[in-house]
Amino acid sequence: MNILQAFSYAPILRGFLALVIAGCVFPMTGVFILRLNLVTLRFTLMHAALLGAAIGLALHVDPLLAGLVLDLAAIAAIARVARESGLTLGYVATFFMVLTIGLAFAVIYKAGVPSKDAFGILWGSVYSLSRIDLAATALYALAIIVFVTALFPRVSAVLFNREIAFASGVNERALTTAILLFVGISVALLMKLIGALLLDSILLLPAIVASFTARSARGFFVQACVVGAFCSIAGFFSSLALDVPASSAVTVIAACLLGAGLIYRRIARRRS
Amino acid sequence: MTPAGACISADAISVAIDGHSILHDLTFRVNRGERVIVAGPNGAGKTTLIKAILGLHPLSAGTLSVLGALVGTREWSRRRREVGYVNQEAVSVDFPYSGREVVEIGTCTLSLPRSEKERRVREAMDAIGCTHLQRRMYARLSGGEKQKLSIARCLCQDPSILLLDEPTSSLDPASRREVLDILIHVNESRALTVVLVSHDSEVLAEKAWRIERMEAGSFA
Repeated sequence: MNILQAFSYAPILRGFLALVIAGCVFPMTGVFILRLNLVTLRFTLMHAALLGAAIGLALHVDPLLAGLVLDLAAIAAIARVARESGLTLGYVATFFMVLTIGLAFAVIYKAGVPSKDAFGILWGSVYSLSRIDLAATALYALAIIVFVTALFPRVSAVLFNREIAFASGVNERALTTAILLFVGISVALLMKLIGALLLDSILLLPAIVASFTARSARGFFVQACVVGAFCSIAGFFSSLALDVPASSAVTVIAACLLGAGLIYRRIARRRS
Repeated sequence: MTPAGACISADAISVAIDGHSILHDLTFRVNRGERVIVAGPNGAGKTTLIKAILGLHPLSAGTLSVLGALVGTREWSRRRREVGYVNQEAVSVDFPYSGREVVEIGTCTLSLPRSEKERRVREAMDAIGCTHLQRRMYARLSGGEKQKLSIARCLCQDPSILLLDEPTSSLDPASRREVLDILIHVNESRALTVVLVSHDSEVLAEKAWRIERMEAGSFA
C-alpha cells in the first residue's frame, strides 16, 4: 500500500490531520510547561485522567470524558491550593499526583472496574479518532493559537515573572489559570491521540529542542511549533514506511532531534 | 485618602505572612517627586513593605493608599500599572527573552496602537542607554544590564512611582553608581517618585536621597 492509497482510508487521513494539527500547535503548551515548571503537573493530569476513567467506567459514563472532567477539576484545585497556600504549582501538583493515583486504585478495586479498561485511557491511537475528535482537536488548536497570539504580551509577562506581570496591570491570576487549563486539555487530548506515555514527544520535546536554539520568547514559541510539526509529519510517514506505530515513530524522531539539539548546544557553548 | 502631596501613604499598617507578623503599626509617607531609600538589615520587612504597596501582600491592619486609591480597591486595580516595580531577584534565567521583549512587558496592558507602544519602548531604552541590549538574550546579561532593562520596562508603563527592591545588591561599584545615576535622572527629568529599598552600605551613603531606616517591621 503506497502513501496515497493509505490516505484514501478515512481513519488514516483523520489520524494524519490530527497529528499534524497537534504537532504544529500543541508544543506551545509545552513552552508553558517548561517555563512554569509544570512537568509534575503533566503526570498529575495523567493520574487524574486515570481516576476519571475509573469513575466513568464505574458509573457507565464515557471514560475519556470523565478523564477530561477530572483533569479540569484537578487543575482548578491545584491553582486554588497553590494560590491559597503560597506553595509552588509543582509542589501542589505532586500532592495531587499521589492523591489521584491512590484514589484511582481505590475506585478500581472497590467498584470492580476492570483495570485493563481503566488503563486503556493511557494508550491512545491516532487511527481511532472520530470526525468529532478531529474537529475538537482542530478547534482546540485554534483556541491555543488565538490565546497565544492575541494575548502574547500579557502571556509573555506572566511567563517572565508573575509579580512583575501583576505590577504591570496584568490579571496574572486569570492568565495563569488559563495557561493551566490549556496544559490540562492538551494532555487529555494527546492521551487520546498518541497515549499518555508518549505524549511528551509532541508536548514537551519540541519545546526543549527549541529552548536550545531560540533567542527570543517569540522565537521560542515559533521554533517549538516548527519542531513539533516536523516530528509529527516525519513520524507519520516514517511509521507508514517502516510499518511501526505512528506514536513510536514520532517519539523516536523527537528524541533524535533532542539529541541533535544537545550536540548543537554543546558546540554553540564551546564557540561562545 | 492620600494626604495632599503624598503619593504613598501608609497609616499604622501591619502585615502578617503565614501567621508571622512582618510589619507592625508602620506609618510611612512619600511625597510626589521624592526619592527615598528605605534602609535596614535583612529581615527588617523592607521587601514586604514594597510588596504591600504593590498589593501583593494583604494588610492585617491599617490603611495604605497609593496615588489616592486604597490598595486592594477597584480604583487601585485600575491604577496599579502607574507603579513600576523592579524586583530583587534576577528573573527568568534560562528562558530566551530578548532584551527588547523584557522592556515590552511594560507596555503589555496599555491600550495604545502598536506603533505608539514601539515608540515608548524605543524611547525608554534610549533614555536608560540600553538600546544596544535589545537583541541580546536577557539571561546572558550582567546584573547591571538586567537592571537597566528593568528600569526601561517600568518607564514604558509611564509610571508615577518607581519601586525598586535591592536593585544594586549584586552589582559592582561602577554599575551601582550607574543605576543610581539613572534613577536620579528619571526622578528629576520625569518628576517620578522613586522608592528604593536596600541594605547596601554604599547606597546608604547617598546624600541626594531621603533615607528611612527600618528595623524589625517598623521604622526606627
